[in-house]
Amino acid sequence: MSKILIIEDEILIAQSLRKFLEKKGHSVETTESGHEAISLIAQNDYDRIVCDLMLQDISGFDVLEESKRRYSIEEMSKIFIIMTAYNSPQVLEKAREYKCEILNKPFEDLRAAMEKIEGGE
Amino acid sequence: MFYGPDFTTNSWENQALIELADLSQPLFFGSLVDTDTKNYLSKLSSTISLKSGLDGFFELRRFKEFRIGFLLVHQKGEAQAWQIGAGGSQDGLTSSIDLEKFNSLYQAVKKSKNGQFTTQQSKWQWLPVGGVFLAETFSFRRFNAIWVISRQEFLPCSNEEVREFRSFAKLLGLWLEGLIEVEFSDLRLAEIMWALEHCPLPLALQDSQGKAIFTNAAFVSSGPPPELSWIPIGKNYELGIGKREDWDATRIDVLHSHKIALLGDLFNTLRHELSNPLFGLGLACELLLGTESPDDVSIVLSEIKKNILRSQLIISNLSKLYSEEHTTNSCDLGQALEETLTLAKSELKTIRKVLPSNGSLEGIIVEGRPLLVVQILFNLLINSSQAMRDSTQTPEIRIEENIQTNSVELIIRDNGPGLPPLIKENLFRPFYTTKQKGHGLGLALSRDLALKIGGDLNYIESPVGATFRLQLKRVL
Repeated sequence: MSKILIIEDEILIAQSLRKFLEKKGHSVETTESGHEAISLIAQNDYDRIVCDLMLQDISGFDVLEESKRRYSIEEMSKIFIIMTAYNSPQVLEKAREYKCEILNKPFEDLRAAMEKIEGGE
Repeated sequence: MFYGPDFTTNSWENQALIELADLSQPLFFGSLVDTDTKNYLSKLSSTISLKSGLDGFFELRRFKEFRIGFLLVHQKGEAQAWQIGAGGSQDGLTSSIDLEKFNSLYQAVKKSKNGQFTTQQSKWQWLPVGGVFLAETFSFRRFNAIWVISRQEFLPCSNEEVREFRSFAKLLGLWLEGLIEVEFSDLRLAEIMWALEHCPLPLALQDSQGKAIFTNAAFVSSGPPPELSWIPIGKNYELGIGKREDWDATRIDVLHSHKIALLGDLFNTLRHELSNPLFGLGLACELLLGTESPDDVSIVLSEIKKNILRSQLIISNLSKLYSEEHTTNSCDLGQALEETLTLAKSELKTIRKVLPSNGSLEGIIVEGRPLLVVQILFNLLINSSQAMRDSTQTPEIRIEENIQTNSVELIIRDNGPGLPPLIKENLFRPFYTTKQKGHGLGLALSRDLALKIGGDLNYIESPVGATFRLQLKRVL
């Protein structure tokens, strides 16, 4: 069982993902706000963090950048997973910078996507 | 026409000294007016080109370490400024620069004590120099100008260098106005000539005696001399303007690209706004399908899921079409037809479709970007469907294929009312329409696109309905 944080401002997506993961026995928290995500990450130990890039308040990359205060890049690559609908070169480059996996929206295969989210330590 | 001080008399040296004395720069007497400088100044007096005048600057020993120099010129009242280069990699270059940038540098130089700047400051990074540069401003009747030189390194210039540059720049200013005036009248003329040369209509210029002075590329390439209508230009010249047979076609082209560009923008916005909610709906639907629910609810849920998938498919197909603009130049005809049918699904809902037998078009590759092929097919299907709207019998569209080694023919028939003779004649004419809301471009555009990708589109006489034959070039 893992402790998972989902940062996603589309409530339907966040809640559906939460339900799926809870069914599999994980403990899941969600937030729509990047700022809130930053303070949650500072105060909690998550095994896995799914981070959307386009949030209402700040960019998902800001959340990643802020998390560098707490985690090394090595740790981040195990914890964070970037969720995005746009595979632009900039996104890919950033993902490489944080060594994070990318999860493309919409999921082509729901089961595979879930396994990717659960995948980390 | 010469605007500078008159040094043509043999006493130019004396005059130069008077000018220099006016500048109240004792330094000049000792160092600036050496043989080198005298030569340069006399060259400036006889030159009529700003570029060669500026080039000569780099031959001066005292400034030989400066590798780049150029002039930024703004003609008062114009919306842009110009850079006229000299020396180094900027040799002879004339390019337009943003007026805002010009003004900010102009003000900064005017306010600055020593006119020394560096591109380490981000606001000067647009300048085509790297490192420390010296600048001086000039204000003339019709122009403002900035003269910039740089050694292309970050070491600051010595006080003496700065002083010499500024003094020299003041001296240069005496000639500069005249040279700029000449340069700009040339520039203006060059712009006008460029526009005339590239005008898609045949143009010819002649003097009052009917002697030809100029003909442009379209005139030359039109074969036998085209028929021209003449308009007088001033008292001494006449401009002849020709017609172009394919002018309408050009118009369609322009309209088509505008439409595509607009569609692309609209579509990107739409994709942006739709893909996330659709994804959320899909996930939620999947979630509910995984819970136990009565059969009828499950049926509704899977129907919702199917519709979500269909919407996502349309979005992803369109997105592929528009992103393929510059990538492929060939297209799988089977896929193109399938995509067209998805796009036109609602429009064709009530129409019986008889399609080429399963798989017969698959793997048939034709020339042309998929977007174009889909657009042609889409136009044809929508046209047929709209023509059959008031039909009394069951509407039907029948697509038959005829596959050859080097070509593919698609015959598209409907069982609608067919076309009256008047319409047939004008069928492919641009802006001709029988629909109240039509723009009359559909068929003209489709034929134009077909021709563009090496194919053709024709109307074929048939006893029932309307029949079109689309020919495409097969590449595989």
